[in-house]
Amino acid sequence: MTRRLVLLLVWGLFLAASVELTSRLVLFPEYTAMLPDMYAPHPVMGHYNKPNIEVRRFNPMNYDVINHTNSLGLRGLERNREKELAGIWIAGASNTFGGYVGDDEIFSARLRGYGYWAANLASEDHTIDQQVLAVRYLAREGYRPRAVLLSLPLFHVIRDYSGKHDAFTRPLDEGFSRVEKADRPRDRLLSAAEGLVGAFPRSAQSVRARLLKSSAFYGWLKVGIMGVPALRDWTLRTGLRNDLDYVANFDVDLLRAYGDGNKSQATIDSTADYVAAFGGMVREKFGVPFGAVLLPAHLQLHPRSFRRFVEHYGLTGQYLDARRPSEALRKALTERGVPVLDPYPELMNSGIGRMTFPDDGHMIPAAHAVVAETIAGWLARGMGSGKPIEPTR
Amino acid sequence: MIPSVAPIAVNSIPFAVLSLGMVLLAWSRARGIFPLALAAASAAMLASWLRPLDALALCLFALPPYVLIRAIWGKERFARAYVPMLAICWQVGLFVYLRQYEWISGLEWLEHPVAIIGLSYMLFRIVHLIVDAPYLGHLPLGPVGYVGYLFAFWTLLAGPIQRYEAFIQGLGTVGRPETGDALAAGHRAVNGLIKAFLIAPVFLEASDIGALAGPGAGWIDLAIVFYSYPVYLYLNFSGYTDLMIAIARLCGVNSLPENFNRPYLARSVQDFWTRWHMSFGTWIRHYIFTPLSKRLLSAAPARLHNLLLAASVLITFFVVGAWHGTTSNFLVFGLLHGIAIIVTSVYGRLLKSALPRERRRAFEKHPVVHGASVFLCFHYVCATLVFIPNTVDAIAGALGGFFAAAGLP
Repeated sequence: MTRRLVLLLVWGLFLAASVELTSRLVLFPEYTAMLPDMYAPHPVMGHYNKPNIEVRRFNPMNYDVINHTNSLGLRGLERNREKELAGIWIAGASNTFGGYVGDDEIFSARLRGYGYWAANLASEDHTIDQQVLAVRYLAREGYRPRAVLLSLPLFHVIRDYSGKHDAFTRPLDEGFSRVEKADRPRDRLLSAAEGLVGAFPRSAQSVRARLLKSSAFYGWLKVGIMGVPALRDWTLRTGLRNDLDYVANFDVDLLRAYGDGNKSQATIDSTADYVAAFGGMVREKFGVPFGAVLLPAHLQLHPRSFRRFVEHYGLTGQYLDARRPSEALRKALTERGVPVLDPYPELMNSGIGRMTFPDDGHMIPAAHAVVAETIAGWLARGMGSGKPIEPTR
Repeated sequence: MIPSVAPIAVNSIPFAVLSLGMVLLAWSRARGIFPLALAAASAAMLASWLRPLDALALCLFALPPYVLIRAIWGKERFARAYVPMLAICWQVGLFVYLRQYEWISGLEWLEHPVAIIGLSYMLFRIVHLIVDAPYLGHLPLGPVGYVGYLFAFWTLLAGPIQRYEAFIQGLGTVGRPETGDALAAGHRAVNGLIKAFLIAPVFLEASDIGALAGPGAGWIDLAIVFYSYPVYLYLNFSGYTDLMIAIARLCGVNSLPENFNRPYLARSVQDFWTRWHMSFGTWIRHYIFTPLSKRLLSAAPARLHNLLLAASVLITFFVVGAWHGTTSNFLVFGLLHGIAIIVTSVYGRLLKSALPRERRRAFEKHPVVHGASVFLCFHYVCATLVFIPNTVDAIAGALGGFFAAAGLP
């Protein structure tokens, strides 16, 4: 019995390894693009895009693009670096970085079509305080922008920033010395030991991420299943795949009426204070205009998705309003003298049916194009109240 | 390299396919073609590492000796002939050239250093075959066996170094092992993988001596650097060896030699070399130290014997150092071990003259003396292992920076 089990085990291992090898060589060599490794520790910003990368991002039925970064880690090609850094600086997070659209399809790059060179400072998963550090870092390196725009992805950008104001004053060299300190053998040993512990996946989600990163067969299977509508629906129904409409990565109170125990207004005020301080730093350091761009969330752009969200979580009848946080943030920023652009109307009137990827809440290229056009017009109008920023061509 | 195929590393999926495929072949009725399959699989693994010119260089290194070995196979009259000696010299010269020692230039035509795919292990096998060919006539030798022996995928990258007799004996027992043996081999393979590829890298991260020159490094960091590399080296190397021996045993081949026997519990450097990389130690003793010392001692008067013995040790460990790497720090490593063996030997003689046999044995077995010997030997070996991953300049710079920061001269 044991003898047979041993034979079965060896056969099983051999077949599994053979299937994986075949998948890597023949079926799905693109598997490395499913979850590429694009980030590296950064002494100032904590982590940032790796410099000089050319990485394929591939998610069938969604996107298949190449991401480039320049020698500073900014999204875009090295040959454009100086022109971009002498133009408009656009800070932000994942939607601004545009990891799932091509280099030339991001709204920052599309601004070139309107005569504006723009440097894309964003990094996926970056918070505003990390982008403050990115701006300060570039300033220290001697770069000067024509204007700085901070794109604010709704809803998760709205949070309490009261403990983050040291990003405006913290010595940048401190970051470097922290890294050097972390370079001590004892820290390396501890960090490597922690990495060893982290090598064992502790949740179904991390198992899936591990498989996606390292198994061509899993990637091939996932792609194959997603390509068959019936199977695709089945994965959604059985919970094997997250329903994008049900992703609740934000505080639902933001959608409720403020006051009466709902502390969301305080969070919005904290966010607005922080953005205003960012603007103050930009004006003080560079003497150039600063503005905020509100990037609408998937649930704001797709009313049907919002209805499904409300129903799924049993929130019907609670008067939730997907637009409420945008309106409140816009008002709070305006009160603090920060010019705000909300491209929501232009996006809704653009005639684009679905503005985010099917399995991902990030904007598709067409939506980026609308945002770029809206920003270009806003810049030309002096960002609402200031001097027009002329295109340079 | 085969286009779009990465070099087959031991911890890769292709290696798993290759080794498990060989295990299943050994367990099947088609095991008769195992030697051929071993040669083919090993050649495939080799090909994944090399570009055409590199492969050509390796062919020039490995194939001509076969003609000579074939010619002298089983012919004892060639045992002390000049031709095999010249061939060994030529082979060593070619090895030094291809290995790209730091004083060698003119190898720009090679795209990939052939040396990193176990050239030194091939040299050991070739030298062994050339020296012993006249006495091995009772064993079969053909192109398939030669390729399989020289390039066997389980000993290709880092040994263990196996003698041809043992290789042939192993091929004779290819088959399915008893279930208990198979499970034990599987257990050993998993242990080896965990040691070499999961735990060892943790210590490699911390072993960079350059980090001692950075700010904030203290005595604890010095200790971590000092101990990390020896721990890493042992886990990595012994884990790799465990995996290879386990794969061979799963194929029914029980003749791969062991390479480690608790080396850091050695009581002297001499003892250390009987426990650490044992197949290498045996080879060095057999093909360098013993013939060299015999030749020197037989040609000199008795009063010079101790001196010549010491010289033999130093020359042997000079070779040991040169074998380990292509830069001068490896020579320092080798010579430090040679010196330690000479000092230990002198100490042994002094002890012998000072104490009668029984008392000497009791003294050596005393737990305190035993513990102190192990402690001293371990730390001496750790100190010498610093020279393996670092150049002398790097060590001097890092320690200089560290002690200056600590306020010591």
